[in-house]
Amino acid sequence: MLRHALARIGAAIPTLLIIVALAFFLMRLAPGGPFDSERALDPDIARNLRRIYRLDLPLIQQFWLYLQSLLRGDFGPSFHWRDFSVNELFAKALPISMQLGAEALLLGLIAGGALGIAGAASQRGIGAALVDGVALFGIVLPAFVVAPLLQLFFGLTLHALPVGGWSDGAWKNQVLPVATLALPQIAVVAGLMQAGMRDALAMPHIRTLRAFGLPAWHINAHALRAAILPVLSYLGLAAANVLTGSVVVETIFGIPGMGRYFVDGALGRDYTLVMGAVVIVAGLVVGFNLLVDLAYAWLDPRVRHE
Amino acid sequence: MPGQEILGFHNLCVTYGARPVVKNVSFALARGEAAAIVGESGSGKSQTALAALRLLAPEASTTGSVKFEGADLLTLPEKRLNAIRGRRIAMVFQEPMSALDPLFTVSTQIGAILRHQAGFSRRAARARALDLLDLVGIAEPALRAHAYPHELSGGQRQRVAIAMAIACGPDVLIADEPTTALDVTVAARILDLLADLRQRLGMAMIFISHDLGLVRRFADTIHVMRQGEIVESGPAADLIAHPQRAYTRMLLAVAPPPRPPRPLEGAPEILSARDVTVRFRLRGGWFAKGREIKAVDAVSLVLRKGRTLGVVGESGSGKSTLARALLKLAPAAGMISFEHRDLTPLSGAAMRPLRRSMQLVFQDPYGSLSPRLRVGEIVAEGLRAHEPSITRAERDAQAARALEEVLLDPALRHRYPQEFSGGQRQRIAIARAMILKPKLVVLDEPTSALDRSVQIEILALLQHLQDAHDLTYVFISHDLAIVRAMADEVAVMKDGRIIEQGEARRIMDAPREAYSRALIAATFQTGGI
Repeated sequence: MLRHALARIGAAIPTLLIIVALAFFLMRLAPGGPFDSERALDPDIARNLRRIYRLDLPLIQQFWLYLQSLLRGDFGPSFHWRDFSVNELFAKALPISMQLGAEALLLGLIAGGALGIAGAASQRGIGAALVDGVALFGIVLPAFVVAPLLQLFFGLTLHALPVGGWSDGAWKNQVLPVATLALPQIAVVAGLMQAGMRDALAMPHIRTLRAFGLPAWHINAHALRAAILPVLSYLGLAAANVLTGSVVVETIFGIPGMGRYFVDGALGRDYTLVMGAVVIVAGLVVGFNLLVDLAYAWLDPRVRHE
Repeated sequence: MPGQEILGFHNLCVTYGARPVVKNVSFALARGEAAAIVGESGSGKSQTALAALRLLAPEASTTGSVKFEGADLLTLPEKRLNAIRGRRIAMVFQEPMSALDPLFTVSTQIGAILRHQAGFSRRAARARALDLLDLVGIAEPALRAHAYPHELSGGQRQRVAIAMAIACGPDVLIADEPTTALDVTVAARILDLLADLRQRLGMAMIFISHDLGLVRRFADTIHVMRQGEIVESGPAADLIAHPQRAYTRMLLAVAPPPRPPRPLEGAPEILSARDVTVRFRLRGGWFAKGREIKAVDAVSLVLRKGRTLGVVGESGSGKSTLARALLKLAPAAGMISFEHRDLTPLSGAAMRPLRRSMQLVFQDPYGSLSPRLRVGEIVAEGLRAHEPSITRAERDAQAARALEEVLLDPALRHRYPQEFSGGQRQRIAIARAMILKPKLVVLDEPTSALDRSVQIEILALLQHLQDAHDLTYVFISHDLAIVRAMADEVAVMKDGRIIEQGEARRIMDAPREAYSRALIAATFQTGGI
């Protein structure tokens, strides 16, 4: 198990490095730069700026410098918000986005898992069809349709919840964005769980348990462990989906998270800001996938012994 | 010997929708009796056993009754039924890999039964699980107890399944083809174990098998099933000595007759292999060195035109890998020449024109035919690669002729493989090889997934094709009875090596190696226990 874990961690490091390199050079390939504006800058000032931010060095040297500061945990100064470093910007925004994402993922797992199990339990009945329907609905409806509908109904009609804002994370402000973000996850998890549970219950080793007269809860526990494996595989992807989905959701609900830095940073060629966001998101996704891998190996001994 | 009735089947019927699979089955099992239900696949024998413990798929409906000590198992409330399942009536299934949960250790799975069904504490269950593993003949039970099913061999897995079945000291043990998925020598040991346990624990047993020759070794009573009905029943000795039905006699004729010997010397060489070795590298991790396994170890052989070389051995002996190496489908060291042409230096592209002369037929007629292509397309597919110039109509005509040659109605070529039986599918697979007019055909366990009666038909077809086209066969099988019926020459493989090779009759009658003798004994053994 330890060997498996170390091997996985070893494989994650080059993955991250490749992502960082790709993002760095792609961003520089994009036309324009951080100091371009409608009025052209005085050439001397522009040259000075480029020198201060070391943009005059050869690209490969810049990349090397960036990697070095990254190792120190320093994302560098923001080009756009000139009084702030990227670290300072993220210190405020990242916890908000992570909280939002974690809550959405957790809700997706719990609600989706429960729905899936309920659907599988009702074998051929309308329950299963209902779960399939809900799943399809959740997958096809994009966040920018769901969010305004929720805002209209709960905010403007019922006056029960605020239509936007964060208010330092008051629970009322969290309900709608988390629900919007979680909906597609609930849908996918419910579908996977229902199919997994149905397949698991039809497996010969479950029949063995029934042949030995073991209690229903014991049999369901065995089936659940097998059914959870496909859900677990999906979780890595779900984490990435939630993180990218949060860009849209944060914008619609006016939440001061990481999402706006992605958009503003990319449009303003704020190299360090975009790079920082990419590194953070990639790190989270890779780290989360690592956890998923380890959990999978813990649940399924066949993977461990490969 | 037969005492008081413990389990009684009365007019049991099982239907799936409108399709009956078990029809009015009635028989009684006495305390301590060993009964066998014998029949070919689809005869309803497993369905009968599964129905008794209400383990059928939810689509199945049952009528009639199965009485256990007076209570009807088919209508008993779930709770009372669960008190009987595992505790009074236990079951061993055919496929020990899928019958055990891959995610839990062996001792956990045995322990769960002891805890829930026999009221053991966690600690006591663990200790008892070790005793049970010891009882079923697992070496080093303390070590094996923490193994997961995939870490055990097939025989060990089946022993674990048996340990689970006898955990609560049941009165009745139902064993559904418990040895079919195992190698012959392993199967023989599992049978001995079952017979021994039955006597020691005084259990009654229902043994389900397709192999009448196997059950005659220990059954008191035999019930022969065909198409959902019991067609013949009786004390084992009587039924074996005086079978009333042609179907029973067919099941009894276990082994097809040996092939009449043909001279080997006159036939020209078509393929020769020298020191063929196939290595598999097991990938190591960061901290473990990779290991190397020789799946085929310095094998030399000669194939003669129009003759059959039978390759026998148990699973893992390297026989399929050898076959793939001979056709250059697996990377191998050593020299292989086909029609006096050295194949060793040939690249994949240079091999391609030769491929049509060397064809391969696989074991699993279900997995080897694409379910998305029509039979005609499957059969003609090789022509598209080797004769791209011929027209669609000509290809179709050739496919029809190839199907005719394997005795299938050519009109069936517009259907999909899933509409055919196992035997018909294997004919399709053979037609697919024959359409290319090959010189050498490697048959990798071509009859292993089929019932005996169908096996014999396929063997007759293969012999007919060999005579008609002067084909050379490499016939791979774990089943010596089948190899004896096909092969002029036999090679016995073990751990990647050919340990004995020679004329078929000589090896069958007077094997030199102890391992060959054990294989032959396990296949043709008759005597009782």
